[in-house]
Amino acid sequence: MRLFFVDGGQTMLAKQYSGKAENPRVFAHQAADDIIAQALQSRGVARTKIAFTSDRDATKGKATKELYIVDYDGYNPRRVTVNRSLNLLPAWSPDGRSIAYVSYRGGIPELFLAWIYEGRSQNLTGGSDKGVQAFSPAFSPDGKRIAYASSRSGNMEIWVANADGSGARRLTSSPALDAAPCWSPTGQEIAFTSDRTGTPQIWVMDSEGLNVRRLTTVGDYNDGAVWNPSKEHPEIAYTSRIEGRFQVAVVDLATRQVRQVTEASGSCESPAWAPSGRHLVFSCVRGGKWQIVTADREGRRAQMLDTGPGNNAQPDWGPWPTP
Amino acid sequence: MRTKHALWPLVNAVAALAVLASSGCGPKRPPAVIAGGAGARGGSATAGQSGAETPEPPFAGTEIQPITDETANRDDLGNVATGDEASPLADIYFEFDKSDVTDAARATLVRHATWLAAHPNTQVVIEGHCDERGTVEYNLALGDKRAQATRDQLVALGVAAARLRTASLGKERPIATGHDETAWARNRRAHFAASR
Repeated sequence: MRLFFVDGGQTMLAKQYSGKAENPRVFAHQAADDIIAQALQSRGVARTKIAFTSDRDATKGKATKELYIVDYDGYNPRRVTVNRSLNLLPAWSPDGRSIAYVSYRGGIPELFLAWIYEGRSQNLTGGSDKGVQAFSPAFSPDGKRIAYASSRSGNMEIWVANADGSGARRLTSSPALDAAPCWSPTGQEIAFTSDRTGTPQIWVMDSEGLNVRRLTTVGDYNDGAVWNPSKEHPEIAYTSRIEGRFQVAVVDLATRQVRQVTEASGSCESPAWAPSGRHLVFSCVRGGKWQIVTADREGRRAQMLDTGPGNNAQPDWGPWPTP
Repeated sequence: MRTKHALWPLVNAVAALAVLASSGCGPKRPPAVIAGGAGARGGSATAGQSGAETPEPPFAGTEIQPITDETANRDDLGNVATGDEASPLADIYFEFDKSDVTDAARATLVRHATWLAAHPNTQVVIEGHCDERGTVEYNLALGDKRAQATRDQLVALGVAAARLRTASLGKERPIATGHDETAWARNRRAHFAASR
């Protein structure tokens, strides 16, 4: 590959790649990342992956949802779960080797960890006989802990456990519902949804559960916070009800200014950040079905990914590949 | 760098060329840079930062695997969440965005408590469901509140708590697939999956 200035002819970047031609997309993605690195001095996401849930395998009378993984552009779908149950809310581990998710395969919603390159899974919440419902797993940035929502204490609260599910302890204790936790890039804070003031809003606390304060003040329905992983962009994306529809919005943590990322005629929800913090993935209703959409952090260059048939939703953008 | 307009069509072209030029040798692995600046032939000598670094491989030689420790095609939902399966216990319904058990629902639960007293070996998973309006995660929390409120009522009516488990389905498994108030009202429900 040679990259040069058209008008001057100077070479900007020159590389050769070798390997098997059977998977040419790998070369194109590597080249794309090299070009981004050279031209924009930032790390590209062309070799990252996106996980999501899909009902494409549902049969009549059996409304199943299974987890799938695609390349960042929607190609190359790989099925992860095969249990013909509901499998929801995938959350990548920071090393990209596993995905935490909610599965109903044991009869109630529990957390599992899918070791995606080994084809095995691990129950994180103790087994369905324990009766512990859990939702919305989120790995800490160092991969050592998982935050999640659980009603095991009788009411939906935020819990944190070790990455293997051990040592679970409760962070919130509000009679209201507390749900959908996410970590700050430093791992020192957790944002979550709470309706303790009457409507669902985004709140922030430190990772020990102290210093709880409300973040969102615009709108009467905000949920599903995700913290931009880039320290250059201190901001949180979330789903907000705006004029009767759900849209992806971003709140700047310094100014508290809110910007609306989607302006869909259907609904959009479930945003997740690319590891660069420069792009978002979310799901939108397009043509009567939920589809995976990517856009930059301002909402420009929105692109619906052709990930395959069915409703495709609840995406999570995986980390950069690591050796 | 100069203008992006001049640059990007060229980028696409060279990326395509890179793919065509790749040969089929070696094990399946991500492309490795075998020549950096030295690989540039012709053109100006004023190469920019020619990348000689080796790209980080993703997990070398590995492919994403389906989970094989789950039994494929096993109907392992067992007693839960099959949505519209026949249950000896009728569904109860909720108002929009509410988890309070209505008077009509309470009357149904009285009958359920009587039935459960007559069937002492039956275990029940109470599923809390929501209509499609609202977000995934808030609806999972709301479905949980509906299931818990229903369980609390049954316990108050004398059903042993140990026979009852709860499971929130949120908006993930609607029984009615329409997008109007008729469908929404049917989906705001607690379903009783009974097993012996």
